[in-house]
Formats: sequence, C-alpha cells, structure tokens
Amino acid sequence: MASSAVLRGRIEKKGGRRSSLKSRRSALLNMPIDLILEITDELSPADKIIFATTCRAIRNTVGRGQFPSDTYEDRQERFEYLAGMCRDMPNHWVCEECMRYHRIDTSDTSVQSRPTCPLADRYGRYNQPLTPIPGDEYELGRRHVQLALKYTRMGDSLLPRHRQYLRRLTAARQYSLSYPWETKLMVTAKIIPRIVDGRFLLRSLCEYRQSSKPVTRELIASESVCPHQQVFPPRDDDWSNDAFHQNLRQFHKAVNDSFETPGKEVHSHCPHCFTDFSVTTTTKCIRISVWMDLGTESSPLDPAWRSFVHSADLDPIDEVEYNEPGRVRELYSSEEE
Amino acid sequence: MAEAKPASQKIWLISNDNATMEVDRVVVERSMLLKNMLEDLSHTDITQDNPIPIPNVNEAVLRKVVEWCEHHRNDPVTTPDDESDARKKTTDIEEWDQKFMQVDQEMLFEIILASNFLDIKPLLDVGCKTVANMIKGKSPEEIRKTFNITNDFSAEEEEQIRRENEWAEDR
Repeated sequence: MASSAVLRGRIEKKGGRRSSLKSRRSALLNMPIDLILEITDELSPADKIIFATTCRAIRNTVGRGQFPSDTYEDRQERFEYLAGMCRDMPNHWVCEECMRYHRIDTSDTSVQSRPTCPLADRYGRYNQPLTPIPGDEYELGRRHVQLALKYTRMGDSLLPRHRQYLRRLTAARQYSLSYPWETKLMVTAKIIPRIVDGRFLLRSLCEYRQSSKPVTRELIASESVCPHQQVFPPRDDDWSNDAFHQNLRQFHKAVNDSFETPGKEVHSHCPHCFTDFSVTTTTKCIRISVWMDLGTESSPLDPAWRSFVHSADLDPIDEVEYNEPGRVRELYSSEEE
Repeated sequence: MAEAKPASQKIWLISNDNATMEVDRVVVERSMLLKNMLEDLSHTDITQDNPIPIPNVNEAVLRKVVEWCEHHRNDPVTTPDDESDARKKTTDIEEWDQKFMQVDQEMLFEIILASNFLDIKPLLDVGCKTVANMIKGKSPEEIRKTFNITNDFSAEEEEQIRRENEWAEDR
C-alpha cells in the first residue's frame, strides 16, 4: 500500500507545488503566465490589443497584439477596438465612415443632425440614420445611440454638459399634422427612446384619426414599421409564397387582421430585426405601435443596429433573426415610467 | 490496469487544509492527473485513512472542483484534437457552468489553478472563458477596475501605445 508520503511525492512531482508568486493586489496578475495566455487565447484580436494596454505586466506577457490580415475581419476588429477604447471617452464617438473617433458636438441630436464627420456630406455610405416615422425629421444616428448608452452607463461620473446632452439625446418627440380640408384627417406621432439593461430601445406610436368617413388601409399606404415591413410589400409573384417573402409581409398581415377585428390590438413582429409592433383599428382610427431594440454600446457594425439601416457593404436583411416575439416590447415596458 | 474498477468504487481526497472527502472513482477520473495515478495504484491503496493529498487546493476550492466533476461525470472524454476544434468555435458557456462560475474572483482564479494542476481541461476552459468574458468589449480602464490592475506605464510607454494606434484618432 502506498503511504501518504509516497502519494504526496507523486502529486508534487506532477507540479503540485505552486511556484512562488509575487504578491500583488490583482488575482489575475498573480496567475502563471501560461494561464494568462490561455485566457487571452479566448479573446478577439481587438480585445487582446485593448487588454495589452492595461499595464506593463500584461503587455509584456501577451504582446501588443495585431489586427487580422483579412480585410473584412480587420474592419470588424478595428471597429471593436474603437468601440472598446471609446467607452472611456465621453467627448468622442466612433465614426463608421472614417473608422476613427470624432469629437462630439452637443447640439447634434436626432432632431437636429450635425455629424462632426468631415466626410459625412461627401460620401454618406455608412453613418446612415434610422427614421422611425417615414418623412419625419427625427433621424437617429448610430452615434446618438452610442453616446446615449455610454452616458447612461457612466451615470454619476458624468459632467453636467454630458448629462444635459444625454437628456437631449433621449428626449421624446411628439408632433401632429392635420388635413382639415380633404378628409379631416389628423395624424399624431410620438417617439420615446428608453435605455434598459444597456440596450437602446425606441418606441413609436402613430395614430391616424379621420372624422369625415371610415379609415381605410390606403391612409397608411406609405407606413412601415421597420426597413423590412411595409403595409403594401412589393409584389413579386414568382417568389411571394416562400418563407423569406412571407416574413416581409408581417405588417401587411397585421393591418389586414386589425381591419377584420375592429378594436382589437393585433400584435406581431419582424423576423429580420428586433422589432415588435401592434396595430389597432376602429372606424375612426388606426393606431400603430412599434418597439425597436437598436442594440448595445458595441461596434457600429453591431447587427442589431445594422438590421435597421442600409449601408454600402451590407444588406440589412440577412443580419438578424428575431425569433422571440414580444421580447422587445416586454423589455421596454419593464421600465415604464 | 490489473484490477477491475467497480462503478461505485470510492476514492478519498484530502485538501491542503486537511479536509477529507469521499468521491466516486468515475468523478475523480475527470482529473487526468488523478486518473493516470489511480491506474498505477492498487484499488486498496487509497483509503479513508490514506487519502490522496491535493496540495495547494483548499477545502472550499476542492469542493467546487468536485461539484463540477460530479455534474459532468458522464460527459464524453474529449481528445486533444476535439478540444482545439471546439474551443476555437465558441466562447459560449453552457448555463449550468455559467452559474457554477458565479463566484468571487479569488475563487474563480483558484478553480482555474486547481483545474490546471489536476489536469481537468474542460473545467480549465470554462474558467478561462469566464475570465475572457469579463475582459471582452471593455475599455482599458474598465478592465483595470474589474481586475484591480494599476496602470504602471511610463509617459514614454504611453506615447508608444498612442503612436501604435494613431490611425484611430480624430483628425
């Protein structure tokens, strides 16, 4: 029978005694180098480069890191890097057009767009805004989302000017239009941003009221709830029965259903972006509610955001699969004021 | 291996703070270090009075490691090739493991050290991924705060780092 001394000897021969480690305050820095390298093996190139800028010991252990040589991956990683570094920079935003930081202009908001990008007017391939209500001047840029999320996270450490800017970035918008001579139509719209669990959520509510005669689908012919869902989706007879095209008809179906069940709120969602919506129709009114989840304070290439806007190199339609109907609406309502 | 090992065979381990615990042999064998060692020994070598000493691992950490091995006692053993493939594919961690790793940082790093020493590769991977997830998407200052790291770069080193990433700066 092996004695306990023999067992201990066997174990210790296998490396059971930990080498004498320097006493530091950080448990991470106390780890053996090979285990720190195991951990950094799990990081993306961008995260590794950022990690290497935390202190000398880490930089000497993991090296300065490198971006990938593949052009597509390089672009992804550089934006990840910019997004990570910018989290500590309240006066800067990450520009999709230039792939670098720009200084903020605190008068730049979704109702008065003033991007501080020198290329904004020249190319406009990226940096495209989201217009939740077609034709309205409310144009939410990725930078507005990014800054609002950053300032909300920074919370108490914000300077008063950033706090004021945050209020403007997340301000609700409300307007109404009336057409008294033709059909006595009145359109009222409300857009209310809300940040919940580090995600930028947007709710819009649009109401079409007509007193002269019953409302019809044609009144909202130009309405859409997101880039993928329109009241009258384009006709494509050859393909219109496949799943892909059926997915683009959710709003169309909800509007039809609501006309068949007056007074009932018909809920639906878009399978191609994080959008829930509902339609309620009565004789005099059509009410469209939309809840959007525009994603987190990550890279501007975040699919959650990209699925809402068109840009030069990506088709927004293939990026996201939304298969948890009601999630966005519930998340938004979880912090009802 | 000369002797048959019944599924219910018990093994005793003793932590470095002298806590003895009785564990099923199949559970202990999640540790490649202990598995190889047990194969060299007669099944009567390890008794309650003559447990396997686990130096550097205290009772709390050893209990956590044994808890993980218990939960994963029936997992298929992966070959080194499978491991490298599976590891590169995802940094996702299964739900039970995520909850298991919700411990303070000191315990988390102790689990990593123990799994490395005991050669429990899947547990080591879960530990490393957990730490990696604490780094991902964060800024340098957030990482420093998370892990209590002091920025000790000299002005020259800071300038060198700035120059390396000049492409990102506003112009």
